[in-house]
Formats: sequence, structure tokens, C-alpha cells
Amino acid sequence: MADALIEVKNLSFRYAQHDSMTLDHLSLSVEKGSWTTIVGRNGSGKSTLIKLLTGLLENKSQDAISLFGRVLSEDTVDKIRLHIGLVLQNPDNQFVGPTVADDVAFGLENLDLSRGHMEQRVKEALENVGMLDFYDWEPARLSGGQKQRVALAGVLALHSDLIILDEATSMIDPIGRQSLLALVKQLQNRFGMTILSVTHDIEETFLADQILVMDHGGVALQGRPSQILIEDQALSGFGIELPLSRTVQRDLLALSIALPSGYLSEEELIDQLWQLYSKK
Amino acid sequence: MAIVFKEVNYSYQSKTPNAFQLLKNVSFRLADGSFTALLGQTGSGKTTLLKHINGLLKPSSGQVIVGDQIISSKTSEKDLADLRKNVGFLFQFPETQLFAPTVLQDVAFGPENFGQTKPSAEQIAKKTLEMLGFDMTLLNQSPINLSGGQQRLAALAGVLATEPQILLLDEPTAGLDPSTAKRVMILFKKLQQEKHLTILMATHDMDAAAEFADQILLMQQGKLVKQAAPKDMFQEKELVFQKILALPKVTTFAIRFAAKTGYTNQKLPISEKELISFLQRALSQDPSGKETTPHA
Repeated sequence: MADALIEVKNLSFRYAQHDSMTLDHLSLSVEKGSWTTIVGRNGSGKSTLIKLLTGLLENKSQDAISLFGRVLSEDTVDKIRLHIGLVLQNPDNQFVGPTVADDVAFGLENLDLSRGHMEQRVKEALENVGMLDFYDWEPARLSGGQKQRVALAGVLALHSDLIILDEATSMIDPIGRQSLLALVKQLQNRFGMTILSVTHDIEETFLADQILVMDHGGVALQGRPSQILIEDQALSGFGIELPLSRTVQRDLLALSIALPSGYLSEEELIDQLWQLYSKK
Repeated sequence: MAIVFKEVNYSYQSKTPNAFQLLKNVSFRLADGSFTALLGQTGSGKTTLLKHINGLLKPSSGQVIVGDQIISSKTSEKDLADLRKNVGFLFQFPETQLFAPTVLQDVAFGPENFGQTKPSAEQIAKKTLEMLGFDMTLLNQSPINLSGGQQRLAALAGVLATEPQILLLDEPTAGLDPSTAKRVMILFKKLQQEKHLTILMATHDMDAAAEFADQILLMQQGKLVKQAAPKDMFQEKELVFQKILALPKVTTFAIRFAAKTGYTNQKLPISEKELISFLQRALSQDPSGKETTPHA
């Protein structure tokens, strides 16, 4: 793919103490400006893949990973990392500043911005995640979900070309999570950012352009949400929860209610039900 | 063991000018052997409330009564030792409670500390890990080397191995894949029903709250807004509208359907089975408003 921002070919990885391969000849490609979501059961290798992509784990399969058109290696990793905003599930591991604002500013220090410009970016990012009121708080006083919001702000402030979210919203309440994910979608659309997210929340995949289903260290399924979310049996086999709209559609079809059997998003399904409702 | 809060207030750094009130006049009673979901937005005080039940935090004013132990601002650490044996606490980020060189040692630590011999503590540890569906080939691995999901199971095993009478769970299924999450929730329900555990679970998973909890406590900005059974709580459209309460997926689906069609003739569903019969009834209803098939 000409416009691939992430290109992984035949990537394998085994932890020193483990008997089996965590990643086994994994290949994938993420198009520039797209949102790719990775799903898969615990231990399928999702987080290991993220750690290898971001240089948190050393990659021993040479030339297997390219980012921004450059092969990831010991020589290029520091430069490449400057373009990646990474948010992990446990933000405690990422907090460094004495206040929320310092923490968000930390990543910006490398970017040669003026003091005023930096402050503006910090405020804007905190505003975007709904945490501006906590500007001068100590991070230790925040709840788990608030910490995840601040960690996300730290990445948004960087205006990175690539944002990687590894279960980054798992501790945020459902209403807050939806608004943050909508914000990420907006950034993708407006600035052409590339998003790679790992999640157990099937609803997050609705926002993606591409879904990758991982299983046993490889990519088991890959495609657009409308192609993947209809693979009922395969998804169940990989431990993936089916979207509610899909199970409702199936249950209603079984009751001989006249619905199309192809993929319907929740909105499309409700539309269909509305038509049936008004026809009676 | 029953859990009672009587007008509990809690302020962070209460003796400094930075004081910030995290719990505001919270009162409730949870019966012995009940399963309660603690809901509320990020930062509403759920974790702070849980920490009061095993004395990790003490009320600035008011009382927390757990079994026959009263916890107030004056309670000393020494008085809390017995209580802590009976209260298991699974923290939000499990890696913060794993510390031993291997998973087995980590899980065996609790029972050994509470008086079991080493071999019998290890026996209990293995049994508990197995019950949770932990990958037993990882038994002698360092907890640090585990995937996030396996870490959570290991931390949970460490809590259950001490056989607590009260189980405090802070987002117990975050980071677990849906099938593992479901298995763990079913296990909690079984522990409640068979071993009579009292369970209080802070969660953002409304589907799990609707399916497994007997009752719900809803928090907002340090205050207890409402205590109710799931079937009643999730009818509170006003709380949903104010963004204080999120809904199970099935309930949201029904509300979206109702908004589109103008249909409002039924109680909102809180399980998928209820949603299907909700839709079925709505679709068989006469457009004039009369139902072709009557319902209760």
C-alpha cells in the first residue's frame, strides 16, 4: 500500500521466559489518516504489538516494522517516536509532572515551542478532554478515569501524526468515553491524524475504518467494520463480543420479523424497525 | 457482613487549606450477602467510598459500620486488623497489588499471612487460580511478565484466596476480554449465592450492573444520588438526561427506538430478552395506539 503509515511484515516475538511465540509472523498495514482498531482476547498479543511498534520492547525481527516510511531500528526509534502519541491503560505509569498542567506540558518540552504557545496548547488539550478545571491539581488527587483523560490530553497537545491508544479509555465512564472517542474521531477527520486503538469495547470499532482481529499472535480477520461485524461465528470463536444491533437483528429475524439479513449499524436497524412500526 | 454508612463526610488533606471534599454526607445500608453495583462518573467518589470499607480511609466525620466494627475518624490502625482479614479489595489497576517474584507466591501470600502453612497456602492459591481460569503454565512466572488480563486474574486470585466475607471490587473487569469478563462476573454471583459474600462493585459496565447486581448506588460529585434495584434505577430518564446515569446498551437501544417512533407504552428493558419482547410488542401494536396483543 503506497500510503501505509504503519507496515508490519512477518513480525515474530517471544518473551525470554515464555515457551510459545507471543507474535507469530504477524503482518498488517495501517493507512495514513485512517482509524484502525485492534480487538482480540486477552493474551492474543495486542499490547505486545503496541510495545514493539513504539520501541518499548526491542524488536528482533529485522526490517519487520516500518513507520512513516522508515524501518524501525535502534538508529531510527528515537526520531520516529517523536511523531507518536501513546496512551496506555494505566496512566500512573506515565505521570511525571507535579501538576496536571506540567504533566501535559512534559511531552511538549522537546518541541521548541515558546512558553506562551506551550501554555495555550496545554489549556486547549485539557479543555478538549474536559479537565481544564484541574489545571493546577496534583495528579495523585485524580481518579483513575480522570488520569486517563489527562494522559489523553498529554498526547493531544503534541499534535502527533499517529495516536496509539491501548485501552486508553477503559476506566472512563460510558458517557465520558463516548465524548472522548468522538473527539478523537474529529481530530482524525480534521487533521488527518492516524489512529491505532486497542479495545475490548465493540462499540469503539464502529468509529474505525479498519478492524483487525488478533488471535494467537497473528491477524485472524481484517477489514472494514461492515465486513467484520457480520462474521458472527468467526467473531465468537475469537472471543469477540457481537454488537448489540447484530444480536437483536438475529433474534428478530428468528421471530420472522421482516428485516434484511445483511450488516446493519444500530442506526440502520432502528430505521428499519421504524419503517416496520409505521407500516402496520 | 452488612455495611452501613452514617452521614459520612471525607475531605482530602482535611487539615490543609487545599482541603477538597470527596464524600458528602453519604448514608446507606447494604444487607449481609447482597450484591451492589456502585455507579457514577469518573471522579464521583466511588473509589474513595470503597476505601472507607476496609479502613484504608477513615471518615472525616460520620461512621462506617462493617459487621460489628465501627470506623470513625478516631479509629486506630490496630483496631482495623481483624476487619481487614474479612474484607478483600481488588484495586483498579491490578499491577499495583502484585509484588511477589512469582504468581504462585503472590497468591499464596494472603492465606500464609493469615495463618496457613506454606504448602496449604500454595494449595489454596492453585485452586483459586484454577477456578478463575488462569493460564496455569504461567504459575511460576513473575507477575510483571503477564498480559494485562492475566495480571488482573492473578490479583483477583490473591484477593479471593484469603476467603473474605466482603468483596470490594474496583472496576474488576476493565482490561478483560468480554468472555473472560463474563466468566468472572458469573463467579462473583456464585460466591454471593453460595458463600454468602457481600459484594460492592464500582463499575462503568452498565450491562453487568443490570445483569448481576441486586441493587445500585449512584454517586455524583461525592454525593449518593439514589439507591435502587436495577429495574427501577434504569427507568430514571431524568438522571440519564442530566448525564449522571449511563444506561445498559439494551436500554439505550429501546430509548433510541422510542425517540424515532414516538412509542412510549412500556417500561424500559434492562436485558436483551426484555428488549426483544419490548420490540416485538411495539411492532405488533395497532398504529391507532391500541395493542393488538395485550400485555401486562
